[in-house]
Amino acid sequence: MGILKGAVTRLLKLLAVVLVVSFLTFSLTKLLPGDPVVVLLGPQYSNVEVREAVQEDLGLNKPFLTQYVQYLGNVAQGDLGRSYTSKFETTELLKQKLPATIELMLLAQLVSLTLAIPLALFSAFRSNSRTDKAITTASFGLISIPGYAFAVFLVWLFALRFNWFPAIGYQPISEGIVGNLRSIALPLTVLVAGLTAVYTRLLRSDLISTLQEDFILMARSKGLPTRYILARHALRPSSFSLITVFGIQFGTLIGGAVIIEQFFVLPGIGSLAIESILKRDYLVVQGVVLLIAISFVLINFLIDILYTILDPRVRRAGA
Amino acid sequence: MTDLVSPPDGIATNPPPASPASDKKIKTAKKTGALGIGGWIASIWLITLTAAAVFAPWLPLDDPAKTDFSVPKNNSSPFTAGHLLGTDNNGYDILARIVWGGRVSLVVAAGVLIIGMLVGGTIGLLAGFFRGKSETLLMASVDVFLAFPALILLIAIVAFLGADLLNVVLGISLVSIPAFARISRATTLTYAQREFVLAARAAGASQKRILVREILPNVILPLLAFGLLVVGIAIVAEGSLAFLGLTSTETISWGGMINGGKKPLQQDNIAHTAMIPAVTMFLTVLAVNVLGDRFRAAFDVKDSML
Amino acid sequence: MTKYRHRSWRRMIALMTGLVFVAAACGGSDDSASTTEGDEPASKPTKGGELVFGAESDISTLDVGAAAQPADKVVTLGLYDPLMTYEDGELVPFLATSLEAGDGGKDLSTYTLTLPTDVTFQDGTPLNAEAVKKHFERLQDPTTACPCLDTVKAITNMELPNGPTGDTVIFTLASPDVAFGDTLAGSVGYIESPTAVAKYGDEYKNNPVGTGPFKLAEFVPGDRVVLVANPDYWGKDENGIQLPYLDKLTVKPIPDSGQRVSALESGDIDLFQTADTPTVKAAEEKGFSAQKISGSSSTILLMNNAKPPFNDVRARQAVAYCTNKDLINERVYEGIRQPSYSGFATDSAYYNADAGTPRFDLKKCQDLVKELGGLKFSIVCIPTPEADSVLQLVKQMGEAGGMEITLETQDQGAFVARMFARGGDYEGACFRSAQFQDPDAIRAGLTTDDAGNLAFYSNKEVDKLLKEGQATADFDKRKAAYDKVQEITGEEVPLITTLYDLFGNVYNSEKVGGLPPGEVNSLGAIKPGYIFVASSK
Repeated sequence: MGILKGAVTRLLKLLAVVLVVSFLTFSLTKLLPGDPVVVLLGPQYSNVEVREAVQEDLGLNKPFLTQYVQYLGNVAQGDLGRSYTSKFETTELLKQKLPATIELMLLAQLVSLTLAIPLALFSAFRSNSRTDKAITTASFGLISIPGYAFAVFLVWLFALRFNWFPAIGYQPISEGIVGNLRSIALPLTVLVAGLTAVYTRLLRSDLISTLQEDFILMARSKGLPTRYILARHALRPSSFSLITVFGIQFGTLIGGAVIIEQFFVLPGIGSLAIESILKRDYLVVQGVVLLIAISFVLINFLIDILYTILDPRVRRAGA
Repeated sequence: MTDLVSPPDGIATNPPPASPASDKKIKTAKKTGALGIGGWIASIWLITLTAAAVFAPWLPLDDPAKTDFSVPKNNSSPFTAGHLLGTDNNGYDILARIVWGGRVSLVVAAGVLIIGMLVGGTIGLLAGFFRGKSETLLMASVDVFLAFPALILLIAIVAFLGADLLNVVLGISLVSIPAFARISRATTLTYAQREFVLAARAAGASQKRILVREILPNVILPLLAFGLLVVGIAIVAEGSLAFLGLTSTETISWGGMINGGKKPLQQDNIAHTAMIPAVTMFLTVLAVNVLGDRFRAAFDVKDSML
Repeated sequence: MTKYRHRSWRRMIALMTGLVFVAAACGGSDDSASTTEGDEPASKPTKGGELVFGAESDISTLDVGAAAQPADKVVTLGLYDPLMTYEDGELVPFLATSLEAGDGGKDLSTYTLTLPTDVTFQDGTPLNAEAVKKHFERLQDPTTACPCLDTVKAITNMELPNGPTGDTVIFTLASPDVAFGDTLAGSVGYIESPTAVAKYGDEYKNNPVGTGPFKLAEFVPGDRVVLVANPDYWGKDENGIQLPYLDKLTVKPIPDSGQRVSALESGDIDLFQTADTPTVKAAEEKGFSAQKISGSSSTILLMNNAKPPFNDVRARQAVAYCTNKDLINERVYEGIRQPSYSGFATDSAYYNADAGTPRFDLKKCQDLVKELGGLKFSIVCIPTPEADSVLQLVKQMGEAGGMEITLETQDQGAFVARMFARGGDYEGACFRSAQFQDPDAIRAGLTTDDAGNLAFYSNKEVDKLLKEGQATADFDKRKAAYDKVQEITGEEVPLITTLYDLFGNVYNSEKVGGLPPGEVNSLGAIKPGYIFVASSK
């Protein structure tokens, strides 16, 4: 079947992308000044004998390509290697940091969409009304707020002044859902503010152009209720830019919430990446980048499939 | 036929967000070139800021890196002896640092526009126009770049090259290249099929002539509109690095000022040291975004007239 | 050789997270080197309860031999017991029952260590001579990558006269070392279970088993370390209550010092540690209690004595004369810290007040710069807000003296590489000296060609004096040697100590009953076994 074959080809392409990303990361870590062995040994680094023993122990004495091929072989078996400094398995570290990242990412996306879709629908339908202008202006404002500054003020206001939410930390869901939600309320707010604004603007502008299409005019002339037209006819063809950006944001959120994670002391993937870069803990850096690349590529693959579901034309073109 | 979704351009199946291709049908009430009140205010703000930043050394400002020892304590409030906006936790004049910090934002903006837009735009233009292998290669590298976490790449670049301003600008610009390339290629593709291009081709115009005379002028505008958007992001990104403490101590930037001001805020309830640079950055990014929006609206009208 | 070295470089890692400078040389003091100031325990210790502790940096290691940052120290002091410790300035056995130098105290190259016979590790393995021997052998293995390697390599032989399960180990050292007992009071003296090491191998680091008052319940790097009481702990307090007091202690790293105060205010944590002096003051003003600790540890401006411009003694002196430490104290530290003119704490028996270390003198500085025909250099640092403030002042002071100073910023990994991997690829650098008891601690930082001598200082007489100070237990002889060293370094300025650190353990006195005195050999870390919950009536 064409569709199946197409999917396989596409997946192979994605695999190639991931491979190139991993190779680039590997090369980058070798190019960076600083060497994990110096970080481990400190002044002892000047002792050649000790240095070489440690390099050999960590497998860092082999030629670059050998190291890379060996790394790939291990990755294929699900072994991402061990942190040089903490000796934790990289997979273990990722597993520890994933819950906070995934929860924050999913909730941010979900809440933003839930807010953005009705706002955009309303705004587009009543375009140029006072409410539309208010929504547009507000989203403009929100897009322009630097997240870290927003975070600083949220903490000051809601953690210190009112003491409604904790200033730092992440409470796993297993320790109570209320505490968990409270612990991510502030970081979530920072993320949601920006995302909602982006999504609202995108969807609004696409909706406005869709609403000028002939088939909408036709539906209107048939006397269908406005709400019905918006939800059934206009939303679907207007959601393409939104979905694209939605997909890209997943990638951004996995590794890009670094500042939010650092500031709120959330055990997330972004913080892990930074800490590992600063400690030159390269196997962990590679693990993180690999994870982000794979998730990014997979999510966008799923989103491509979503297009075909949303737009029959794409499906037909593919058949 | 074989591809499931078979977009011609890999992951970027669909028009990128800021691409005029996606919203070319928006018909705004505004006429070509109309800025609106918001646009005017934004322009005035940006022009003032730029002028102040460019002429900072000649303005009657305090030295932004000299502690005023005559003020008994650092972090003095706005409107205190000789300091319109007060001093920060190093006893530096905040007004002077805002102006000098504007220079950094300006340099970042210029870097992104010059390096990111020029390099990325050219790559996208060529790929979209000539198609073939170069396009495949370009789209493949764009895919790779997109899958690579940008902030992590940026941090690695800064760590690799050192944290001076030049490297920070270089890093941010490099990271922005793929986005520009994508936009530029997508726009080129839409124009390459337009009647006027086909007409020029039928009239026997050379490839070079078509590219430079027919396509380039049309691609530049949306690219510039997108560029303004990226400038906003880049200013915030520089601030992110400063906020993480990854930029040079000697670089005066708004992000660095916010970073320095967060402790007085949290510890001593002194808000102005963080608030003033934060508001400045907010207003600037807002102004850039407003202008970009007006720019696109204006461009769209033109587009629809074509 | 010296624990000094590994401590100092480990501190560097802490730079990223809030500490400023790291030690190159200097530091060390005797007796009452560390001053603890703070409230006496308000209530009587009671057993039970749990607390959350905000650490100033990520917990980088749970292994023995490596812990040096206050954050690591607090956790490892919960998991392990040092063989020796300081009590009121006196070196006394802690886990060990005794430590004797050979030949009635005259032979400083052999030491006999006796162990208690009734202590077991948390996994049930008995503590015995074999465990101690294996501990040192493990640290001597280069692949353990212990920063303490040089220190433990000085042990050339370990003899177990009462057999592997006995209670005695006789150490033979390569050369006489009066500070061997002091070494055992640090993380090198924490003994780990040999069974656990054999069982976990590389992963021992994350499955530590010691004899300490707490067992590890959970370790999530960058997020938390959860310690629970060891029910079989051997230690009791003076009232006969079994230690630890707490059932559970959660240590949360909060690198942002502003966020630490926020977290204490919002009740997310009950106490925190900080090297950031203004934070201590701000917290006190908000009604929290603070235990303040200072000693030999200080911020340092390191200069590369082997390269221009600082291979010229006049250049180093110029910088010293230009540095107005009182002004730094006033503008950055709200006047709470104390300017430092020596590697020793001012109340140390070895402190030499008349060493002639340059004091601020702008005129002298300007004259020297003129004589040199200008002075241009860079200072490389890992950026932290505190370091930034100090540096910017130092820069302005230097410029007032006619110098041209560039401030360079490097991330942690690159900074470490520049300091250690490329033979001192720097002109000036930020550092911080460590907290010390025994004056021998300054040896590595000043001895020619020692790996710990990051300033690349070289003076044959200083080398000789330091060796003398290490090889004798005679106070007067040692005092004379270190006095002379301070005079020479006062004249030659191998590096500049700026201000003594002031470390704070800040706590909410409604929840925390009081804090035990800080560990004298570390910057402010406390033994968590002695923390207790405030009795709420």
